[in-house]
Amino acid sequence: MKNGNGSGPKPGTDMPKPEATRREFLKVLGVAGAGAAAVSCGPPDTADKLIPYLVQPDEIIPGTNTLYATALRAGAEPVGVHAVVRDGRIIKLEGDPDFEPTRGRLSALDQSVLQDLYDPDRVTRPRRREGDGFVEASWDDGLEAAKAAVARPEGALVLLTGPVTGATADLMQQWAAAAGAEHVVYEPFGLEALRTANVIAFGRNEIPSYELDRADLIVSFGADFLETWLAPVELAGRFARARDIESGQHAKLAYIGPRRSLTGTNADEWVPAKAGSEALVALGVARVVAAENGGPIAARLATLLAPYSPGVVADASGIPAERIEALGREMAAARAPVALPPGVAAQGADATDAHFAVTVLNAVVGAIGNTVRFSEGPIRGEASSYSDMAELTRRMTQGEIGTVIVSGCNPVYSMPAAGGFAQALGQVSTVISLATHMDETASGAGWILPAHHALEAWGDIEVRPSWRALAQPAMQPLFDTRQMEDILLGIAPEGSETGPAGDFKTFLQDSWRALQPSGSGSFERWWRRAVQAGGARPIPAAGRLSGQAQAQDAGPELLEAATNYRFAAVSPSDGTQLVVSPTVQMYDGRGANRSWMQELPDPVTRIVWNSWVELHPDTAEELGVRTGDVVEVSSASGSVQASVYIYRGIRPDTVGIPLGQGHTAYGRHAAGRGVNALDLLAGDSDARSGALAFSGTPVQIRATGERSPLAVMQGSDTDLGREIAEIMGVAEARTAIREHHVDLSELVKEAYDSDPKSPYRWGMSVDLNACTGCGACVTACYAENNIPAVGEALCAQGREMSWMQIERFYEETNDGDFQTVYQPVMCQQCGDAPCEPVCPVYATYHTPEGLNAQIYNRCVGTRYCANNCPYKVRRFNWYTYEFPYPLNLQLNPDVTVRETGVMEKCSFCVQRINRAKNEAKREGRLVADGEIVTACMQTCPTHAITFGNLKDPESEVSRKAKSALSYHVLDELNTRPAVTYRPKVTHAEVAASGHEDAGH
Amino acid sequence: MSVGHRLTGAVVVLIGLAVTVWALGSIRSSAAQEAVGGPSGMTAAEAITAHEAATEGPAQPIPFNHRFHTTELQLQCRYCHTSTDRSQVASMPEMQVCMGCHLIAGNGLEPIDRLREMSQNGQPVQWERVYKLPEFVQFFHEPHLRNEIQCQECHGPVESMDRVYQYSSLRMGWCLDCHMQDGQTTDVATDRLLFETYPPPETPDRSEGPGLYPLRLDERYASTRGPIDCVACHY
Repeated sequence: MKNGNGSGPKPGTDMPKPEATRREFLKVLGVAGAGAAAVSCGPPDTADKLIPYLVQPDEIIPGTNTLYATALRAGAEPVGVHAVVRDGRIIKLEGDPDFEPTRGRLSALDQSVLQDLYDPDRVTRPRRREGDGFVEASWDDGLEAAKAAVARPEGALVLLTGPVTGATADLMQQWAAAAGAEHVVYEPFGLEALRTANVIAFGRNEIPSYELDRADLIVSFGADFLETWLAPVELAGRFARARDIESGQHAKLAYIGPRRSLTGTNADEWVPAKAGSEALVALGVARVVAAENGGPIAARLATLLAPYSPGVVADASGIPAERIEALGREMAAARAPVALPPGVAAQGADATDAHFAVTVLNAVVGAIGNTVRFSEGPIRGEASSYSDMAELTRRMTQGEIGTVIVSGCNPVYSMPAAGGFAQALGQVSTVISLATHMDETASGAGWILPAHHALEAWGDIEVRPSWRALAQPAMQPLFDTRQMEDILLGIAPEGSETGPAGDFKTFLQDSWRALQPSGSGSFERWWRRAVQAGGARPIPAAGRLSGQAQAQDAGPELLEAATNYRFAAVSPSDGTQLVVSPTVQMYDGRGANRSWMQELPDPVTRIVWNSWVELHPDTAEELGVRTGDVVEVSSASGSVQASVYIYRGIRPDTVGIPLGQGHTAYGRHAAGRGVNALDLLAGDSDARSGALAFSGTPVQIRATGERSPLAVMQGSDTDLGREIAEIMGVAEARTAIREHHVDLSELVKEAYDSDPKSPYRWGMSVDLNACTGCGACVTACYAENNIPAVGEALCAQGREMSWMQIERFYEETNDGDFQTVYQPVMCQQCGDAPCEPVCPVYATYHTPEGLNAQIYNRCVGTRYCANNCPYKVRRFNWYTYEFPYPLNLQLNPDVTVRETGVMEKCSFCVQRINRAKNEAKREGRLVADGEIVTACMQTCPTHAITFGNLKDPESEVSRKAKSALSYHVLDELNTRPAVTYRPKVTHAEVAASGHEDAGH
Repeated sequence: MSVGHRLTGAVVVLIGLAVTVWALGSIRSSAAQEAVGGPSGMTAAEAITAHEAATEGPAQPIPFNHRFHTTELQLQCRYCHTSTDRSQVASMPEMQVCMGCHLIAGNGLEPIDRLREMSQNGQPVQWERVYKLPEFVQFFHEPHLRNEIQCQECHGPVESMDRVYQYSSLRMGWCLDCHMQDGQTTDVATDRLLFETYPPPETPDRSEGPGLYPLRLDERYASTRGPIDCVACHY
């Protein structure tokens, strides 16, 4: 059976039991330092052996979890994580609650880093090119070859890396200086335009902090801040706090752009402006605000704004002038408005214009210094621009570059093919890759010297000016790899006195010495505490950070130069335009070889394992195609073929293709799957900032007549009026909350679905108003509960195994538009569960604590329960899915790995419940509120999920369950679910919700 | 391995030895009370032969004799199986624990020489597993110790075993015999859940709610010795 996980050893036969700790993984690198045990490929069969430690580390108790604080940057933002380590291997990543920007929450992509670590397609030892392929080689030979190529390059020497900060950035700078190398930092989703606009406007090369939680009106000009832009987890958290209706506030979100992205579908209002008209709309709105509010800034900008009357803007953007005026008046009237500049999908050839226009708008509405704050904003590291990369490409083509060392980036994949980077790299005589995976760029290298994975390595990340996170190796390296920085040090030219020496850990410690506050004792003690805490905050104004740390707020003043800014008169073209957008699953393509990410349905379209072409229903009708028909999208630079997905959230003159698929290498799941939309891009860049123009490519679409159905994990686009996903207006919600009086003691009486003697009835509350649909909970559930990915074919048959789904339902609004409700649906743990009475073998039954338990070893697989479940949350194992080595090392030993013929479903993380109950019993008390945190609740960036004891009237979940807005899904079936939902609350005018206090 | 490492290793081992000597002294009296029989004067060489000659249970790569270490040397179970009261697993002793004594004790015995060599080469002993639960069972040692279940209740008279063998069946019925000891076994729900072991009731109890099979566990559940809820062990 071919399935999504490929072939490999069966789970269970090779998974070490908790006692059977393998020598290879036994020494967890704590604060104490690194060993260098290498592991041979493939797992030895140790199931019947008990293999103890030679020397057991003090902090390790076999069979219990040890947490190591570390930090990583898996996508747009750095996150502090706790690596949950069991018997020497990381089995789960959980957010570090003390890491304030993200408050202990992680995105789906962050969660999936584990699959990156345990990727069966990782490079396990050095490789040397031989002909078209690679052969394994020794480190000695590899380092020698690299050293020669560094010492005597046949041309210029280039160090090409991904974005780096902190000690690594320092080391690379010093290394490059000593070796005479140029350091090029490549980031596919760089923030060049944002930085350039801030330099022009304020003379500040930095990223401001967008304080969405202070705002009451958020206007996004294509900033996909809930998925991929700048800091999705942090900004989603801030967004949810700004919209916490029960605490009285509810900020409105308006989204401007040709396609409703995940952020766009979370918006109360969608302004479908043409791609490339963001700058014009921002200026048009700013002009209205300036006229309404006046003030010194408006006066200074009068000349700048004068040409952008709503009428002019309307012509170019396709938005009626009245809507622009209305938006302007709304912003003028708002208490704390904020405008967000374009993200990747909206970044066109006028990127700096758009960013600057949004900055002007922010200045006019008084957001600067209030909801947009400088000097405490996120640090993402300085990156070279796309045009720098284009220049590098040109020089490589002309043979000027002799040696390129690549680390932490994959430009061959993530730069448009039209730029010719891949061919240019072929002209370089020596390419040395320090990759962890055989990605497209590594595949073109002469040598691969594999670096440790971030979770196996030391490092630090600058988070904010006053905050540096510290990363420690949370486990012994899986393969014969080395710390990336140590490889660089190992191939540095000898005899250079200026370059860094020794090993990276010493270098890191030395650079942290400068951060130690005076009077805090010995460095060793302070360092140990910093490692334990995963970083230091606040760090003193010392060293390279002093300039930023001491800087004061920018204030509302724009620089004089800014008021004389000239906007390029770019007008969006009339034909069909292409919008390429990064997704929460793939980001810049790095998620493509992780089966969790391939199988995480795209939040907007709910498609898995493939690429698609989004067409407006009208456009599709014109072409005579429907969802699943293959079309060819072609531009001047190339063409791609993919299946159509009909989406009403895109302009009729726009075609949307997601980024991240279409790899030619990178591993079993990524290679040859879907299309790379970058093939259609010309590789143009914004003149001011050098940013790549992702948007604005004119394209033609042609129906091919072929059909290739997509795996769409959504049954119906609406809840068919069954009040499954409820939505209500702000005013209606406010009234309901005001008039609702709750007697909490009633709740205890109602918690009748557990044993009266039991102090517990486990329950959950899900806030649809907070849920953004990002999918982090789904991925966390995969990680915690050993859920297999089944692949595209089985997904298309509805045989996915995910224990929770985020259903996406559309609700009509009175203006003819639509609202989207994202609804996480997991087992509702019904009090009177339809699944229980139909099980002939009592494999599913009601526990004294109100759970619907599923006992795998009793289950004979009749599937009666799944047929009888009105919520459709039960999953059947049609096959024994495999976890090829080393993915099996990630399996949670607390949860049974299921096999063919067994039904499974959400258990409310019963393994966590049982552990917490055991802990409480040992201490002779009841489980306290907040002690049990399910995997989904733990990771949710917006705290939309609350778990707890419904029998405790003071618990958070009880209070939420008794909220005026709470309801049960399919309440009329009298299943008495333990999960209560709270409806989405919107500023849009929706048809009356018909909500009748269904929860009580 | 560097000289520095060896020195550190030696120091650690010496400290281990000192701790062992102290521990032996302090635990001797209580261990003597636990042991079924007193010391018989078995020698180490006899212990090795006895392990090798025993027929029940798997032969271990190092012929470790539990009787010799507990009854003769009067070591307590938890001297080696340290995490029993703190964790799900009892844990196997790290090599350091063995070497705490065997750096000196057991000179001239072939298996001990082999053990020392393994220790020096950084090779752990791959002990043969005696007790293996199916992977769908989650068993925790810690609560059993907390509730003063003696090791021997499940593992048998290890103090008289030359070679450890599986004493109890580890079948679910065997678990439940103990878990249900103090409670009543006529609980409707439990009967249903265990219908292979106990006959189903003649008249199903439908008084508790609108469901067809109200599987609510009543207060009799609370009086059993241990949890008999399926999901206490299977998840």
